[in-house]
Order: sequence, then C-alpha cells, then structure tokens
Amino acid sequence: MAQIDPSPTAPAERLPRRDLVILPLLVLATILGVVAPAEVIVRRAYPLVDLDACVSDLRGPVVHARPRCVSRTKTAEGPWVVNRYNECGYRTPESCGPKPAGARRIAMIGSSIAGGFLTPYPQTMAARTAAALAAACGKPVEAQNLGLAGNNGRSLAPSAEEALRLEPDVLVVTLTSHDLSADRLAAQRGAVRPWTRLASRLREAVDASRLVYMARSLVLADEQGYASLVHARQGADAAPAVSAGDLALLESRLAVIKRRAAERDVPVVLVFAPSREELVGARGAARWPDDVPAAIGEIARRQGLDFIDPLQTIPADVPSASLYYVVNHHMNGRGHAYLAAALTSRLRAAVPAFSCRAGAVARQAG
Amino acid sequence: MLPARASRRRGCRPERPSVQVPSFSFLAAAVLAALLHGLSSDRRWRSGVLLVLNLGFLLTFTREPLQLAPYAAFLLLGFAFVRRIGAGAPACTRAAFILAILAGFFWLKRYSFLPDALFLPFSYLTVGLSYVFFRVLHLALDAREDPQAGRIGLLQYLNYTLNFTALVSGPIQRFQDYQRMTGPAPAPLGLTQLGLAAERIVAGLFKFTVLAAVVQLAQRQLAATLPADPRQAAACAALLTAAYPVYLFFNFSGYTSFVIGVARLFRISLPENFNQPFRAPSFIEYWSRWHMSLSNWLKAYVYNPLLLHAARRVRNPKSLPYLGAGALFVTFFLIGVWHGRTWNFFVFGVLNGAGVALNQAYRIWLAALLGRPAATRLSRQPLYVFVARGLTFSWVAFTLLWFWSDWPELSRYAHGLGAGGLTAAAAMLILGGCVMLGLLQALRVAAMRLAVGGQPLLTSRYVRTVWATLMLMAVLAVTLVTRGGGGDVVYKGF
Repeated sequence: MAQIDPSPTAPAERLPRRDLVILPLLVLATILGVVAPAEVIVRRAYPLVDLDACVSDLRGPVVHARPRCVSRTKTAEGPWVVNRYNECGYRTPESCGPKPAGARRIAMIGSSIAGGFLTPYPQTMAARTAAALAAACGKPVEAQNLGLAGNNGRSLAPSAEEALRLEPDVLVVTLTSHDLSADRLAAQRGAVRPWTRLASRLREAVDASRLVYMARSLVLADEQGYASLVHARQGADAAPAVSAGDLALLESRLAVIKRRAAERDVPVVLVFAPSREELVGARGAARWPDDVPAAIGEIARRQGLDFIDPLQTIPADVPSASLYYVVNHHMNGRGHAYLAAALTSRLRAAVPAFSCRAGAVARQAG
Repeated sequence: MLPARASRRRGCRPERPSVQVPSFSFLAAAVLAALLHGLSSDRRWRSGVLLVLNLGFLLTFTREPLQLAPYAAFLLLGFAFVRRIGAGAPACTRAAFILAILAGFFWLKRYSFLPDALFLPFSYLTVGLSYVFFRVLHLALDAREDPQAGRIGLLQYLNYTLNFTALVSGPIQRFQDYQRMTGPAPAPLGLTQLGLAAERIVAGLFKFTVLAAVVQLAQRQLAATLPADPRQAAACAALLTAAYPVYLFFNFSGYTSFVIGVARLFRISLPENFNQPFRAPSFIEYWSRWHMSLSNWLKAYVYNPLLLHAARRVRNPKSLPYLGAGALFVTFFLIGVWHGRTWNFFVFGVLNGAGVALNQAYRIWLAALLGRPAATRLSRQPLYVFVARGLTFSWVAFTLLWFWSDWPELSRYAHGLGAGGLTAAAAMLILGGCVMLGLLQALRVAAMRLAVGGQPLLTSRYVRTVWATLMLMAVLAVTLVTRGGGGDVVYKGF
C-alpha cells in the first residue's frame, strides 16, 4: 500500500512514477463519480423546458405560435408555465376577432420579454397592465400579445402591421438591447472561424450541464458579486453591445411603425425592458459606454413616440436577482410587475382611451 | 481590524473588501507569489519577494497612512528595542523595553483596564497585532542570549514579524525556526511536499468552509430557539454549549491547516497548532494539544521562568508541585485574558487558570494517595480515560461560554433553565461528551485497523487523494451555496 508520512517536515519520499498517472486519474474518477449522479439528481429536481412546443415555424416575417395551442415551458430556476395561444397564435385568453363593444384593446409587440416567456400569464406585463387598467377604468381591457421570441429586428414592422389590424387603442412596442442587435448578431453567427465554432461547441456542452446551470444560478444570485462583475465590465473599455448601425436601423423601423399607426390614429408607446446587467449598471456610478435606453429615448423623441424607461422606476433597494431568472436572463413575474406599473401609469396619463375618471378609480378602490 | 463596508448606496460602487484567509482568492495570489518566489534560489531574491508579499498583504487591510501609523510605530520601536538589547543594553533598560512593548500592545489593543482617554482618537489597523506582538516580544526576550535574534536585520525582522501566511491568526513561530526555513537550508519542495501542501490546504478549507459552517449554523439555530419544555431546553443547552468548541476547533484548525499548507509553498514549515485536542484526558493535556504555538510560547516565556524563579526561593521541595500549579494558573490565566479586552475574557482566563491548577492539584493528590506508579496505571485505564476525556471536554465547553456569549445572555439562559435544568444540562454535557468522544475514538481505532499489506488504508496516498478531491468538491459546493459568504477566523479578532 502506498504510504506517505502526513508530516510536511518529514523526509521526502520519492513518488513512484506510476503515481504521476494514477493520482490524477483518481482525482478525475472521483470528480466523475460525484458529478455524474449529481447531474442526474439535479436534472430530475430542476427540469428545464425552454423551447415552446407551440412555436415551431420561424421562417415567416413574423413568428407565430400555432393557433389554439397549449404548451408548457420552464426554466430550471423558475416555475412551470402554461402557454395558451388564441386562434391567431397570440398569448392572450381573449379572441383576436373584432373588439367587443365597450372594451379597450392593447396590442403588444416585441420579442420574448413582451410575450412573457417563462412567466405565468397573469404575471406578464401584458396581463398585469390589462388587469390594472380594467380595474381602474371599470371597463374590460384586453391585451392582444403578439410578442414571441424572434419577433425582433426585421420582424418588428410586419408585427406592428399585423397588430394595427386588430384595431387597438394603443400599440405597445417592447424593446430590449438584444432586440436591437439581434439581426446583426445572427448574421455574424454564420461567419465564425472554425476554432471559434469549436470553442462555442465546448461552451454549449458545458452549458448543457444542469449542475453547471444551477451552480451559475447560485453564483449569479449573489447581488454584490454580480454588481462587482458588471461594474468591472463598465469600467473596462468594452465594445458597445449596440452599434450606431443598429440604432439607425431601429429608427427607420420605428418611423415606419409610427407612420402606419398614425394612418390608423393609434398612439404608439415604446417600452424599454432592461436586462439585469443594464439595471445593475444603471445603479453604478459609471455610465455604460453605450447607454441604450438614452439612445432609444432620443430616437423616440425624434419620432414623436411615447417612451418608457422603467430603469427610472425600479427602486434601488430592490435586488436585481429578484426580478430576473438569473441564468436564463429573462424577467420573471416581479420584473414584469415593474414594467406593467410603468406602462399602466403612462397609458392612463397619455392615452385618452385609458384616461379614466377619478370616480371610476374610486369605485374600483371601494 | 477595520470592517469592510458591505453596504452600498445608489450611485456608489461597492468597496473592495480585504482578502479573507482562508479563501480561494488568497490561495490564488499565494500560488502566483510562490511561483515568483521559486524563480530563483538566491536568498536576497526570496527575501525581497517575501517582503513585498508581507507588506502588500498588510496593505490590503488599509491604505490610509494614518491607520497604518500606529502599527508601523509599534513594529519599528520593537525593532529598535531588539537591536538595542542585542547590542548589550543594561538589565534595567532591557526590562523597560520589554515593559514598553507590553504597554504598547495593551494600549493599541485598547484593553478595557486602561482609561479610554489614553486611546488614540481614530480607528487604525490592528489585524494580526496580537501575533506580531508575540514575535516582537520573543525577539526582545531572546535578543540578549541569542546573537542571531539580537542582530536581526530590518528586512528579516519585517519578514518574520509580518509573515503573511501567519499574520492574521498565527501560528506563532519561533524566530530561530523561521530563520532556518528562510536561510541557506529551506524546507524541501518536491512533488511529494507539494502534494502534502495541497492536502493541508484542502483539509483546511474543508474544515473552515464546510464543517465549521455546518456546526455554526446548528449552534445559531439552537441559540435562537431554546424550547420551553424543561427537558428539551436542558438538552438544547447542553448541545449549544458543546457545539461551540467543535465549531471553534474546525474554524481555527481549518485556518491553521490552510496557512501551514500555503507556507509550505514558500518552503516555510509553520508550527502545528492542534493535535487532536478533544482526545485529551486532562485539562493540562488539552492545552498541550490546543493552540499549541501560543501555549508553548507562554510555557517558555512565562511558566518556566516563573517556576524557576519560585523554585529558587522555596526551601521545602514538597511544595514544588504546588508551585507548579500556581505557575500554571498564572500562565493559563494570561492565555485567557490575551484572547480579549473585556471582563468576559478575564472570567475565561480565571476558569482556564483554575482548570489547569486544579488538574495539577488533583494529580498531586492522586499520586500521594495511590503512589505515582498506581496513579499512572489508573490514568491509563480505558474507563478512566473515557470519563476524563468527557469531563475535560465539558470543562472546555464551559469555559468557552464566555467566549461566544456574555453575562446578560448567560443569565437569561440560566434563568430560563432554572437550577434543575442547569444540573440536567451539565449532566447531559458530561455524559454526551464521554459517549461521543468515546465513540469517535473507537471509530478512529477501527478505521486505522483497516489495513492492506500491514499499512492502514486511511494513510494510503490513493485513499487520501480521493478524500482530498471529495473535500475540495464539498468546499466548492458550499462556497457556491453560501455565495462565498462564510464566516471569518474567530482568532482574527484576538
């Protein structure tokens, strides 16, 4: 039996050559022996279904779910979510047919955040806003939610066109920084060098581990640690995530949407949905090299669009980790609540259809 | 130590906290520094690297010159005293220097027996000052007899007193040992030693990050929820009392194991601080197994001189053992009060001193009653050891009540338990201590009997490699779960 005196000051025993192989192999075998069962257990304990079975065709100009389809999705760190789509493939319990008499209608476009991906429907921005306005105005308010993962970039204008055909009282466009650069990044993805592709495959393999996923969720849930990471990135001279070209493209698309909406006399409200990184970054002392909400706000001002930046309304003492699925990066129900609160307040202030009388509000409160 | 501010206001970046020991960040920095240190075998290079490291580590706690000034003044005055004593200062000057070092330490540590008006009116760095104090005092005491200590150069003095691996909470190394390690014959550093160092580091992290955290969590929950039912409350109080020494052992021995491993990367062998203290069948033996570098220091510089001094003045040789008990009381009382500046630690010191003195008196009485050979035979009986070990542990746990609690809290617990509850809790503590420690010992013996080819399986490097890997994985998992927010070394505060 191989022995070594535990005393560090003991005379050195020469390590047999075979041990230079055996000992590292033992380390690897031990790691595998622990990690493999742990991976199985974690996969059972934290299931993950992040592909919506109702959304299978991504080829058209606008992504739709299959009409009247029901699916279940779940991120490992979140709850099971049932997605029910109406006859038009929108994540809305109400029909997409003609607007019922006396009802108000919000049409919402955008990508996964707008669609409330991985968030139970009643907790989504669309559902919360409709419910709050209905309660305030004492009238039925429905939100036709066209938002789905992939409805960003070039899909934005056709999606708005489709939304405007629903005769909404307002068109809400939800944007994230990722939406702005999505087209460009997709194009770049096709032209990667072989070694980059290999590295990304390796990374995907590591990412596929649920153990790694849950470990990340623990690391990223640490508010102070995450803030340190973000502030370090802020301090570094990092390349901007959103380019001037992305912003110019967005402006041209918003101009089209604005024109089409004006033809139908539908007001347009632009909502910026910040990422967790942007939220934490905004709480830091330094500014981002690319201040996306400010840039979008400037575009909205030039185009005469109402712009909501919820970064200004989320209190600083609310932990950012409580508003997002920390690994998946999507906003959770609590995050959507802040978006909804900002949107509700703006719609009531700026859109005549939702400017309810004080009496109605008082009746609801009573 | 100045606490790192964790809170953050809107618009402010978080402050960078000081490096925690043990931690992965400290380990990473130490490994890089060890690589740099090993680039050349030139003594000047290695001393230079160590100086940069030692000063750099100290500067991680504060960079404010004003906060560093008292620390620097204490160090530099100490150096001047040591050199002056080494150059042959007269006895009265020597005594004045040693008293000045003692007074400077008490003053800087703001001991409560000094009037508040004397203290500096600003916050300043005191991290590791207690351990620096022992090193400086040791040099000053040895400077006259040991020319190497008396002629120590500034570079070596700073490297010895500020040794970054042992700055925060020791262990306290003798200068002569340190000098040998950093001299022409440093400790070897081959593949085997690296493996052993890695094993110590991992074992230290495991004890500190996993075991100490689990016991502390249990202790806190027990402290927070003392049940109303008297029987449950007594059991809870016994567990609460027993948990702290276990926590303290994992916390401090984990730290010590970690820094011993890290120091090995720099070819320095730090002294051991622990030798299975809860196996001790007497309180005197316990103190020869717990915080050994401190108790050895005090034995060498307090107990032995005190006993020698007393023995010279006593004519009746029969009273010598009792003088030993008196010297033990003084030594271990000093160990107790060294731990803190408040009355709590005064009580801790009295209980420690009383414990060792009574233990010594009991030994004398037993030897007188049975004769020395019979007393020795009795003290080796398994049943005697079984009971003595439990009693020793219980006394340790009892003295440590003043370590983690205070009079108001203790009186609240005592009031809640009543006289009956307290008696029941004490009985449970002693009985539980006897049984648990007996079981652990039996398990250890059984485990060591598992052998292949006549060698215990547990000491095989293959088994130890697997065990170290498992410990490391547990450390990583707990670090992730607790978000790296484990506690600090308890002894850092002393």
